[in-house]
Amino acid sequence: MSVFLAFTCAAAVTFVLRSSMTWSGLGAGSDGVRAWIALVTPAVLTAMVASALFLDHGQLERPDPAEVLAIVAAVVVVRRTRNVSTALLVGLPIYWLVAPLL
Amino acid sequence: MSAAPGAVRVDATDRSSAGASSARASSTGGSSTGGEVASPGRLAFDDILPFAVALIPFGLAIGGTSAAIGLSGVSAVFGTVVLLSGAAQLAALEVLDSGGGVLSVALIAGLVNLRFVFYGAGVADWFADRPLRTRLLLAFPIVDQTFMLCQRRFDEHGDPTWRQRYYLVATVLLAGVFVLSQVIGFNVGANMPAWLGLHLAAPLAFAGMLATAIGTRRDLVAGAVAAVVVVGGGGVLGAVTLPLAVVAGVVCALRVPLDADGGEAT
Repeated sequence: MSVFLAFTCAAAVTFVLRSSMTWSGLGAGSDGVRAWIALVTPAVLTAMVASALFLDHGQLERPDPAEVLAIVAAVVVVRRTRNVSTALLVGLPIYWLVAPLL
Repeated sequence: MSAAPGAVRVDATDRSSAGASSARASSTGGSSTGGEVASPGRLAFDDILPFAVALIPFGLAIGGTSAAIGLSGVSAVFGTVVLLSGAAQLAALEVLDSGGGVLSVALIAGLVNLRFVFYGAGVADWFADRPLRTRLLLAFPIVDQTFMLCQRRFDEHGDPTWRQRYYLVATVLLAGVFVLSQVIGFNVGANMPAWLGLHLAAPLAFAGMLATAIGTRRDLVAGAVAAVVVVGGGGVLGAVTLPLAVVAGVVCALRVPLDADGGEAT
């Protein structure tokens, strides 16, 4: 039940964001708000990646070198290709190759 | 859905794909600039198809992640349909897997989806003549891909009915592919061996998005501080670690002065 409730709350928050400019009648906000929102994306993404690598059920753990290598390779390749889909295409095979060796 | 491909930011490659699609549509009479108004459904199909295909691996990864952390099929599909946001869904799954509660999931989804405020402004503008209830319904499924496409197409097409049909066809196709790929990923992923590293799919998708999201020194600082807070606060801050890390990253980044060139880091 808590999973359904969590998704429902997350969806409600998301809908409020999507519809905020419709029901508020406001524009896209001030420059300050724009700057704040623009920085949320890199902060969230980095936090999620760090969490996946360094935390296990909320507890700090030593990262798996194969996972770190796969992530780094994915970042480098996407940075070059600008194609987000290549993250999976590159990262997973590298993990498959390196994990058995370490 | 919005994310890697879905919540995925629209990157240069995606734009090229859409551009090619657009060119195809134009060469076959798909554009209205030649006089005859194109069928909105056909044009939307042509435009959204590359994005829908690119969304498949991401959907498979999310479905697999849902299975890996033990969600039921019904709850996984429920999350997909009500959120329609791949990045937020992945973030929610990570938080749920790490023991986070309902508030943490809602908070992280809100942070991940903050950019939707701007997309919502687009919907409010494109369908300004529609009744409020219709505009609210149309705002519900807006994602990165449909926003980018509509922003471009609606400069050429002002007719509200044409716009609405284009938007709905693009949305339905994209959402359909996204949900279906997640269902497949969920069922296949549950039977996959651990060595496949399915647990790594979500971090890889985030890393891919991150690679296109970092453009300025402020972006770098926001990310670095958030990562430090996550690692430093791990095991101490509990379920609020992620939201706190994000806020700390943004607050610190805002203190970094922009250079004359706009703070470009690369």
